[in-house]
Formats: sequence, structure tokens, C-alpha cells
Amino acid sequence: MIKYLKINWILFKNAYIRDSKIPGVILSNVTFHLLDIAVTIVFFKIIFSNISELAGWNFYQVLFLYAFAKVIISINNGWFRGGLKDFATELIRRGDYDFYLIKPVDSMILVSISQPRIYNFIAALFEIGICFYAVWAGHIQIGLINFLWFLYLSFFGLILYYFLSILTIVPTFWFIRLWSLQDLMGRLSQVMRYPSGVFPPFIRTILMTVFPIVAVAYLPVYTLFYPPKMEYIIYIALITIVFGILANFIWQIGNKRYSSASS
Amino acid sequence: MVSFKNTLAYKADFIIYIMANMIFFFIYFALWKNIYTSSGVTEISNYSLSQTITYYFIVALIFRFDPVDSMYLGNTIWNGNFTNDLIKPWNAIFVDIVYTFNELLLSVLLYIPFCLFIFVAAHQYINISSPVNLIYFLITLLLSVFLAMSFYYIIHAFCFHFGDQNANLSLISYIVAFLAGGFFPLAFLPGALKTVFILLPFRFLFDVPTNIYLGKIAPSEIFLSWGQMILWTILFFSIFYMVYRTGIKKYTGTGR
Repeated sequence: MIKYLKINWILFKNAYIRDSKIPGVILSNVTFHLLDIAVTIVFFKIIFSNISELAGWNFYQVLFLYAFAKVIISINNGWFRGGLKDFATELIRRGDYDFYLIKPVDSMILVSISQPRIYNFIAALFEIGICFYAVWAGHIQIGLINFLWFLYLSFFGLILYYFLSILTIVPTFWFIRLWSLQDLMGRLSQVMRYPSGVFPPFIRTILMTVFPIVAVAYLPVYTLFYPPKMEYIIYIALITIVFGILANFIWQIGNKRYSSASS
Repeated sequence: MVSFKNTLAYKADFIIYIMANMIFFFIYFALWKNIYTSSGVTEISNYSLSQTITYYFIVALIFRFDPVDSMYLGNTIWNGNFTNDLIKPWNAIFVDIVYTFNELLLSVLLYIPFCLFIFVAAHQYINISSPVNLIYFLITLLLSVFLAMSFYYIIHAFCFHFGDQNANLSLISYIVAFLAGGFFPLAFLPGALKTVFILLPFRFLFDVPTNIYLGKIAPSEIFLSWGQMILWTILFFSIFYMVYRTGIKKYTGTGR
């Protein structure tokens, strides 16, 4: 564990040095995130000018859900997306995955943390600010117990999102270049911004169990606003462990299938 | 032919990319159906539920015609491969335009099965346009492709002067999609904001073609729109050509 934290720290320092040399990239990426937030808020305003509740959630609750989902996505993007994108588009195709395989650390983790993007964490700070604004402006009362369970579920939600991202790119071992599945992850992440009640029951079940992307943000935020449900608390820990085992298992099968591109 | 082969080199990647783009439609389908049915309203800004769903169906189709991901002028300038086109006995910009249209054509052809799937899944809520409106829609769509390309070429040409523009292109294309009505009908916007959006040329990329399909625009206004689109295209292309000519003088072809 300490080993991975040390590696992570070195990679973060390198990422900071790299990103700080091109401030324009940081600026345009953070601007993109802020713009996305602004556009979505305009969209929510349009929706709520016609209704008072969306699947039982008011404007500020939905705004909080959206901002929290963006925090999860930004942290994952900042930490893992660069490495996973590289894996999905280049590492297998060019045979550069060898570099990661020969290291005395887990290859899945090393690939994931290999290319952090600092600007995503800057965007996450703004999104956390939106969360606080939603609570303040919406006069949302939050109990200490709710908040503690929220932190617990958020932790698992963050890890679950990572494992779901792994599952979307691990087919690259077989298809060589498969970045579109990661793009699929980005598209599916859009369902995280709405309460689960928006979706028909069959789709909701799929998005909570088969590919539990909705559970990542919805369950923690529900627990923050409403009395905690023990089934949610147990469920999210359970599916995170299940999907973690599944992601790792498929990754190991992929490793056995991998044959370097050779030089 | 080259762009066809390039795009289909990794078929699974491309097919899944198009499938991923279907999700956009189904998310908004579920969202607006929930909004209309739970609130009991029959119309929002003169859009019924079926018109709203049809709007997103057509917008999802128009996104396949969005040239921003199919234009490579900026990349070739940045990596120096543009030299290869410059020394050839043909116009480098013309080659890039042809390449872009090839990619768009392939993108549309491969999207057709998924378009049919969406139509079958949501046919109760999707309106079929009249033949006349369909023809008007297709002509407007073609003009919108030229308009979009002439605008994005300006950004690509900035590569000569300011370097890699990929990050700016992503940002600008997102803004353009928002201003063009790619996320919701512009009619849903409140008064003052709607006025600003209507003054800009980007509404001709998504909102206007879709409303033509829905039969919400009279023929006289359609012809007026075509005139405006042609004028904006000429203006953007003129700007692009000025930036391009000044950029060619600075171009060294060393690449990165």
C-alpha cells in the first residue's frame, strides 16, 4: 500500500511539472468543466421552470446530485482516466504494456495511475463548491449521521466508478484498440446526474445492478438527504467488492492473453 | 477511400462509438417523458412531448453530420504532415474537405442501423416529417455542414499562428453545440437569452434544421434561413482564408 502511495506521489509531482509548463491546457480544460456546469445549470433551470420536482427531488437536490456526480467523475478523470485512455488506445496496440508488466507492482493499478491530470482536481474543487451552494441555497438540513454515512457511501462510490471504468477498457486486451468503450463510460456517466426515478423500472434495475453507474452518486446523495437505508449501505459495499473482484479477474485473464507487439 | 479504411481499421471501436452516441437520445427521452407525464403538461414552449422527443432524435442524427471530429487540418499543420499535401499538385484545403466528407458519410452510413433501432424503440413519440419538409431539412442539413466546416476551419487555421488547437476545438465545439440547440430546443430558453441565441449563426446547425423537419418554420422563413446560412458561410470562409494565407507564410513544416 505504501509502495503505491509513493509511486502515486511521484507521478503526481511529474504531472504537476508537466501540466504547469502548458498553462493554456489547464485553463482550457478547467474552462470546459465550468462551461459544462453552467450549461447544465441553465438546462436544469429550464426543466424546473415547468415542474417543481423531478422524480421527487427539487432543484437544489438535483443540483447537488449533479455536482456530486461531477466530483466523482473529476477525481476519477484526474487520477485514472489518462492512464486508462493510454491503455485503451496505445499500450496494447504498440506493445508498450510490457513496461508495466515487468514492474514489481500490480499492472492494473500502475496503468491506471500512470498519467494523472491535475486540472481535473481543480475542476473538482469548483464542483464541491456547487455542492455547498446547493445545500445552502436550498436550505437542505443534513444530520451528522447522514453526513457520516454519505462519506462512507461516497468512498465506495468512488471506487465502484473506478472498477466500472476498468471494465469498459479491459476488452482492449482482445480488441487491441477500444477507446470507444471509455467514451461509453463518459456517456453513461450522464445518467448519474439525474435521480434514478427518472428512468423506467427495467432500465433503473440495469443501471443499479448489471452496470451500477447510477448507484455511484445516487445512493450516497439519497443517504445524505433522506433517512439512511441499511440496504443501500450494505449494497454499495457489496457491489463494489463484487465489481472489484470481477475487474481484477478479467484483467488477469487479459494479461494471460497479452502478447507483446515485439520490436 | 483512405478515410474509409482508416476509420474501419478498428471496426469494434467505431461501432461501439456510434452505439455510445445513442445513449444521448435515450437519456433525454427518459428525462422529458418523465417531465411531461409527471407534471401533466401537454406543451412546453409550443413543443408537445412527441415534438420534443423527435427534436432529440433528429439532433442525435445531426450530430453524425457534425464535422468537428472529422477535420484534420489543424493536426496535419501541427505535426508537419501538411507539407505532404502542400507539395502535391492539388489544393490542400480541397483534399481536407473531401476527406472530411468521406468520414462524415461513413459515420452516417454506420449510424443508420442504430438510427433505425432508436426509431423502433421510440416510434410512438417520433413524428414523421412531410416529404416537402424532409427535402427542405436535407438541404438545410447540407448547408449547415458547410457552415460548420467554414467556422471550424478558422480555428484550425489558428494552428499556424498559435500552435495546437485541439483543446480549444473541444471547448469551442461544446459551446457551439449549446448555442446551436444541441442540448435542448432554443425555444425553451427565456426571452432575453433566446434573443441572443437567435442572433448568432449557430442555430442553423441544429435548431433550425430540426424545426424545419418538425414543420415549425414556414417556407418563406426557410428560404430566408438558407440565404443567411450562405452569407455566414461565405463570411467564415473569408476569415479562414485570410488566416490561412497569413499562416502559410509562417509555416515551416517541421512539425512536433
